[in-house]
Amino acid sequence: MIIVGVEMLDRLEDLSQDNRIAVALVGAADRVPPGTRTISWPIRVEALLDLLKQAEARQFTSRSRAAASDSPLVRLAKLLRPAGQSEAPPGDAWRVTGLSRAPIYIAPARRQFFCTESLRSVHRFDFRSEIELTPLPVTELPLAQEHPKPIVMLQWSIGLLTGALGPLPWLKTSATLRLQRFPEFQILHHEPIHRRLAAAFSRPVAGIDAAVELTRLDRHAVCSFVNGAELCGYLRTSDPSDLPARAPTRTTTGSRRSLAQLLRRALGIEASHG
Amino acid sequence: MAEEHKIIFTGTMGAGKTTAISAVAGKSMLRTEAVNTDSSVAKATTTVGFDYGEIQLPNGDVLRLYGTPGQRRFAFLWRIIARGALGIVILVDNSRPDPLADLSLYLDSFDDLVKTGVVVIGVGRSETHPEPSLDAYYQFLESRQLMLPVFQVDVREPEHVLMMLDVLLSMLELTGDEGVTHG
Repeated sequence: MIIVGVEMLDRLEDLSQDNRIAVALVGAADRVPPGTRTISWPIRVEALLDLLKQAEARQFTSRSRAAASDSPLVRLAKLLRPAGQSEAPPGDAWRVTGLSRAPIYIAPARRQFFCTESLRSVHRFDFRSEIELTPLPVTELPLAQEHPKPIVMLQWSIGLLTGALGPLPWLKTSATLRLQRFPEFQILHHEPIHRRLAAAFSRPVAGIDAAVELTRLDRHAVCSFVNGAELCGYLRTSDPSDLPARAPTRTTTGSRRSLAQLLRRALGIEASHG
Repeated sequence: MAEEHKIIFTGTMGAGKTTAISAVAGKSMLRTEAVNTDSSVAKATTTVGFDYGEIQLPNGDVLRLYGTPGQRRFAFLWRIIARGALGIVILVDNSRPDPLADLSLYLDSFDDLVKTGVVVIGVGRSETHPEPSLDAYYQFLESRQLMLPVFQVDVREPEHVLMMLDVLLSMLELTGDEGVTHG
C-alpha cells in the first residue's frame, strides 16, 4: 500500500499496478476527481485500518482469482455471458446438474433456460460444490413439459453466486464500472442491498474497491452485484479516465444516508441495506 | 425543529399516481378528485388539484407525498408542487399513444429535479402493451444523456410502489445532487 500527497494524483494509477493500493492523502480543502482513493489528513486509525483490510482483501482476491477461473461456476458464467460474448457455440444447449435438485437446461442462443424448480434452490448452492456441464443438441431440450424462462433470471442468479469468488475473471477490478440499465428487480431475486448497489452504479464508480467504500457494503456483496449485472449485460466498463467531474462529499453522503434510512423506516421498507 | 420532506408522483392522467400514493400513505391521504370529462381516458374521476399523503417520521419530521394533476393544463402547478422536493417518481402509461413523448414532457417539466438524478420511472400496463420495451426507454434516456431507473410496475401492488421508493431513496443517498448522466 502506498500513500502519496495530492501533488502525485496523476501517478496514482501507475502506482496501483501489481496489486498495490495507492491512496492520496487529502486535506479538507483539497479537491480530487471522484472515485479517487483517498485518506484524510490527519490520518485516523479507523480509516487506516479500513485501508489495510482492503489491501488484505485484495491479496486474498488476487490468489483466489486464479483458482476461480477454473471453478465450474465460472465456466457456467462464461456460457451465460450476454449474446456475442458467450463461450457457448451457437446452437448448442447445455444441461447443468448439481446446481439444484432438478437439472437445468440452458439454450444460450435462444436466451432461455428450463427448470422444473424455482431458482430459490440455486441461491442456496454452495459455490465450492461441484456442478456438471453437459453439451446437448438443442433437439434434446425438454420443451414439452417445462416452460422456458428468460435467461436473464439465471444469469443474474449465477452472477450473484460467483460473487463469493470475487469479480468474474474477465472483469478488470480497476476499470470504471457503471450500469447502462437497472436490473429488472420485479422478476429478479434480489435483496434490498442490490437496489442500493444499483443506485451506486447508476453513475461511474472507479472499480470494486471504490464501490465498497461508497456503499459501505462488503466486497462479497459488491462482487455479487457486479457479476450479476455483468452476466445480464447491464454493466458497462471503461477506462478510469471516463469519470465525471464531481462526487458527493462524505458529509453530504452521510446526512443523506441518515435521512434515507429514516424515510425507509417510516415507509415500512425493509431496512437491511448494509 | 421538525422538518418536512417531499416526494412527488407525476405522470399522465390515469397513470396511477393516486393509487401509488394511497398504497403507501393509506388513510392519511387527501384526494381532490372530480368527475372525468375527458372521454379519451377511461376513468370515472380524475385529480384536479393534487393528491396528498402524509407520513409522520419517528423523529417528528413529516414526509409529504404529492401527486400532481395529470392534465397538461395544470402544468403551472407542477413546478410549484415540485419546489424543494427530495425526488420524483414519474409514472408512464404504456397503453397511451406515445409513452416516450409523455415521459419527455415530464422530464422537461421537472428538469430541475431530473438534474439531481433522484428520479425513478415506473411504466404501467406493459403486460398488455409491451411496447415501448424497457430497452426502448433506456435508449430514449441515453439519447438525453440520462441514466435513470425504469421499472415495469403495477402500482396497485404496494410492494412495487415501495420498491420504486426504495430505489429513489438509494438514488438520493448515493447520487444526490451529483446528477446521473452518461459521461
